[in-house]
Amino acid sequence: MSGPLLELRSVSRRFGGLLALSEVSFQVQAGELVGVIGPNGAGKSTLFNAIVQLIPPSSGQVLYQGRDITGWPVNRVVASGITKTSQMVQVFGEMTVLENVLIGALLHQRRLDLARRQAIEDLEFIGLAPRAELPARDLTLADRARLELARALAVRPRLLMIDEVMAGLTEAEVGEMLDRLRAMNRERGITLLVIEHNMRAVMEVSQRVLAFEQGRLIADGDPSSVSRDPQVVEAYLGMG
Amino acid sequence: MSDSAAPSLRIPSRRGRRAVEAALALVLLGLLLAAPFYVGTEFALRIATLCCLFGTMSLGWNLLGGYANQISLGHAVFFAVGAYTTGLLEIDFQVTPWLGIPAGMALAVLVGIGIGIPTFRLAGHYFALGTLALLQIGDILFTYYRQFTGGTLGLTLPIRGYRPEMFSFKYPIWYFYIAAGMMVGALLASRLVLRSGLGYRLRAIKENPLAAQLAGIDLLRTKLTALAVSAAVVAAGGGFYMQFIQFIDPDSAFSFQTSINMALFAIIGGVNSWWGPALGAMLLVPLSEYTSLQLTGRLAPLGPLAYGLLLIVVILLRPRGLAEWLLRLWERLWQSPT
Repeated sequence: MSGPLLELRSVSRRFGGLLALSEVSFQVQAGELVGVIGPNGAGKSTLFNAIVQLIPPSSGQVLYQGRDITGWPVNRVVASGITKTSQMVQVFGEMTVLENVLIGALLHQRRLDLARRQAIEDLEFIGLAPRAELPARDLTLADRARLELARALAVRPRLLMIDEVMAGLTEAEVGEMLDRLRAMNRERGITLLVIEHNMRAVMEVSQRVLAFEQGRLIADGDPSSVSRDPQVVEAYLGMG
Repeated sequence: MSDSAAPSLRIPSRRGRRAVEAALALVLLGLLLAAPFYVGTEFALRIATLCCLFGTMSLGWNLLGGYANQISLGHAVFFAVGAYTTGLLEIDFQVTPWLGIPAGMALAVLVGIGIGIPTFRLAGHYFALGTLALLQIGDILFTYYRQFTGGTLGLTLPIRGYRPEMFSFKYPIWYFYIAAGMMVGALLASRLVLRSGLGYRLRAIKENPLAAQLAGIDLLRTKLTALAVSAAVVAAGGGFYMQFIQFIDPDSAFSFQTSINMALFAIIGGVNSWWGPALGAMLLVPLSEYTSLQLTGRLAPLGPLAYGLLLIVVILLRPRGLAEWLLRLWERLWQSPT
């Protein structure tokens, strides 16, 4: 398929009187690694939720591989190849770390033994294998975020949206995480959309950056030009 | 002894532990099958039979109510479908219950799917209330269409002598063994589901429906699958009940008490284990029968009261159910140095 992997056509999302997303349009090509930045409340997480149809758009369309997926059930979107991790980390607390990832692996691998093997590999990749048998609720918040990422990887997405996985990581761990994101993107061929507050990290890893403010897409380009964009500078400095 | 060597002595081999657990399961199975020889009276054998019947139904309820935490208060509907299907097939068409019971199970699966599609749209407490309303609907329908169901007079099986091929036995011990076999079947099904992909999906839905969706789980389809199996198991119980008691009417078929008991035995026994609900039934059925037997006359109200108090105490002391507590003790036993 030669068209974009993902395309948004004037997607808006209204919560009562608040316009959380306003006429957002952009395309993502297969294989890209795209950073998503913007101040708190800019609509970044709502954007991910609108793409995966957890919070379907009030108007506009989301196209995936050329097909209009607007209004699809979430599980169908996920089965077709899109998933995300969550800012408010979502794991299965009473289950072990391994079982959490196993549940993701079961989507495309119905055989339990093979799914378990795949889950162990994903845990090794994400660096959580030593904690495989712990209940997920016993992990630190940063580890739970990594666990959610491992589960998201286990569903074998083509498009993975990562909502702030660096929070609470040390400098060294941020470096490791950036290496993993690059590996997912280059070696596994997963297209990534990454929301990140750590500006240095996001500018370093992204090939392209989308900047949001008050629900609007205000800049779309390579990291250096976006960081010099007057509107982006205004949005950030205006806040500070 | 050095510190590093000590822990390795404590950790038993996995195979050794498996063998002990398998042996324990066999001993318990032996105890169950030998029950007629040590319970003594016919009354006690009847209670043992009821234990197995309610154990079966509670295990069935637990597949959805326990594993996925979709608390249904309307599961007596499937009991009723099982009981009436076998009863009506036998009375009106002389069909043997050996076929009537599977027919009731199949019909319960269809009814379950018909019920599940609208009610699973209701979340949390509203699902429980929605299923509760089913009892009322069933009661009214089965009372009103009396030309099919016998109305309030209910169904009484004809007396036709002891014919095993018609599920009619001379000795109560046969009913016990059939009920025990049914419960063993339900235990195996319960274990199979818990350890399958379906079991993992149900637990995922219970713990975090949002995360379950993001992992690609189809919530409705998963719950419907569990409901179908659950309905079939409970309907088998209903079919057996019809043959054992030989009578059913709308009040006893669509009884709130039956619905509640299935949930209660599972919750007390432990909803997260595959055998907890059976344990709950084994403990609570005799308890409620004996308290109502011992306390009669002016003391009669004390029976339900004592039963209720005991439930409260158990729930306060072991809120996660007896099975989980026993499992933890078992776990500790294997970890402690000998």
